[in-house]
Amino acid sequence: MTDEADVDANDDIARLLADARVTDPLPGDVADRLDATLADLVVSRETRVTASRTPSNVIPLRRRVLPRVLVAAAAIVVVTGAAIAAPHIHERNTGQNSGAASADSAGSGSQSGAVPRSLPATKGLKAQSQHAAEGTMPMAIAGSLVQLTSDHFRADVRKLVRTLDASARTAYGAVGVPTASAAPTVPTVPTVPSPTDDGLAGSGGSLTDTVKAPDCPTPTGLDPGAEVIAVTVDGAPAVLVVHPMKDGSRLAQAFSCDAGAADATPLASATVPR
Amino acid sequence: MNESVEHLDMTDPALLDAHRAGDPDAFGVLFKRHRDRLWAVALRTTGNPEDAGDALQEAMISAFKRADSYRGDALVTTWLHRIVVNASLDRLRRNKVRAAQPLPDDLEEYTGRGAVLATDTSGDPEAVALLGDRRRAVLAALDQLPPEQKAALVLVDMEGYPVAQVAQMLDCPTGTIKSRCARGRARLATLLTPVLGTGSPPSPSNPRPSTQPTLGTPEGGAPR
Repeated sequence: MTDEADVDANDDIARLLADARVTDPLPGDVADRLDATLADLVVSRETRVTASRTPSNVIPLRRRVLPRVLVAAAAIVVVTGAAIAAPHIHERNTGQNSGAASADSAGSGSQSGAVPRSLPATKGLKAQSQHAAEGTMPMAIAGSLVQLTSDHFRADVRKLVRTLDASARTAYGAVGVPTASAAPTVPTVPTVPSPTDDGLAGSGGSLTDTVKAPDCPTPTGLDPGAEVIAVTVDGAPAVLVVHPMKDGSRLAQAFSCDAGAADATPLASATVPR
Repeated sequence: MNESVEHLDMTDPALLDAHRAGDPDAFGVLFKRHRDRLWAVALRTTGNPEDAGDALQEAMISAFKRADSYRGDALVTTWLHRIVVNASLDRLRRNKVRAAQPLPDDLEEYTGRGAVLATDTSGDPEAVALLGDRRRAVLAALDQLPPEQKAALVLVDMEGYPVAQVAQMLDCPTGTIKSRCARGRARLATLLTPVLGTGSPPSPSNPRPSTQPTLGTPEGGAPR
């Protein structure tokens, strides 16, 4: 009887619960709230879907701008370094710098930089602006190439060679990464290795190992110790070959990149005394 | 919401698939189709319309965003109920610090009136009032139960879902649901003794496994 009583009681409870069931529909205010929430969800999802359909090759603005900023900053550093060095070239060339001789003595074998450590950067900049105002800038430096002109080829080359002598021999590739103090005032492509060349004796490279000037064939048959420099002559890409010292002077020859051969006739040549 | 005729003819799984495929209106049609019953479950589980509304809203948001979690191994309605019950239980547990709702003060009066159950009250204002009072007493007693027992009784005895389906909704074995229902009924029998008008409450060790036959089908038919 106890079991039957339990069953009856369970049935009664179940009936009570069933009678207490909610039969009214969802209240209007709750329904309105749910509809509004659902509308927001739909809009939010639509927005997300639209965003996710953005082409994957579209780079966010920050990622597009940042590299350009970095490149621009690096360019400013290079140009500034070159600008600081350029007046120094002129000063030395005109005999205003008493230290020129000693710098020259360091010459081809030196790894010292173009800008003497005693020369404050502000002085270099001041000298640069002075030369620019006077129209006596020895050579234009744009980007990484030295710009030469056929009209002033001899003078430009002489300044360049003297700069080379005073500058670090920063050869691409074979020599390795330029030293921090040796600002790339003059992009030298590679020196033909020579046991007698103190500066590059340890490079261990050969002409074929050196890096050629961009898009320019490197002349062949050069004497050991010759230097090849990427330049422009009257705006056209060229390579300048500065031969080793011979009888107190160095022969410099410019070859057009268009010539494309070692046997090409030089665009211009000049003998630069020590 | 742009409910097209095509949407209205779609089955629940088709609507859910359409929603997952990006149809902006499919979920709304699906949820609207079941929201009255979901509301009922939320209201009876939480015990008050404010919490029920919040729970239903949370559940709807969750279901909308987690449609991919539906694996198709249960009815869509089961999946929706599961989300609603979980949201309701979460809310119920959060509100546990709230003071327990007291049983009606006039509960003893029901004893003298006898156990009037499932009575046809049409045309009898006194009977209607009595039924209302009894419902309030039942609901107050229901609120005394632990949340898990309460949810099981709401789904099985109130909403009339089969024990197996409720087991899926609550993510536990059917035996657990039966046990929760038995314990819950025993507890209610004690609390509602005045209403039932019986001398001894049922024993939890000998509960009736299911009351389905007396409660109608879970597929839309109103429980008897």
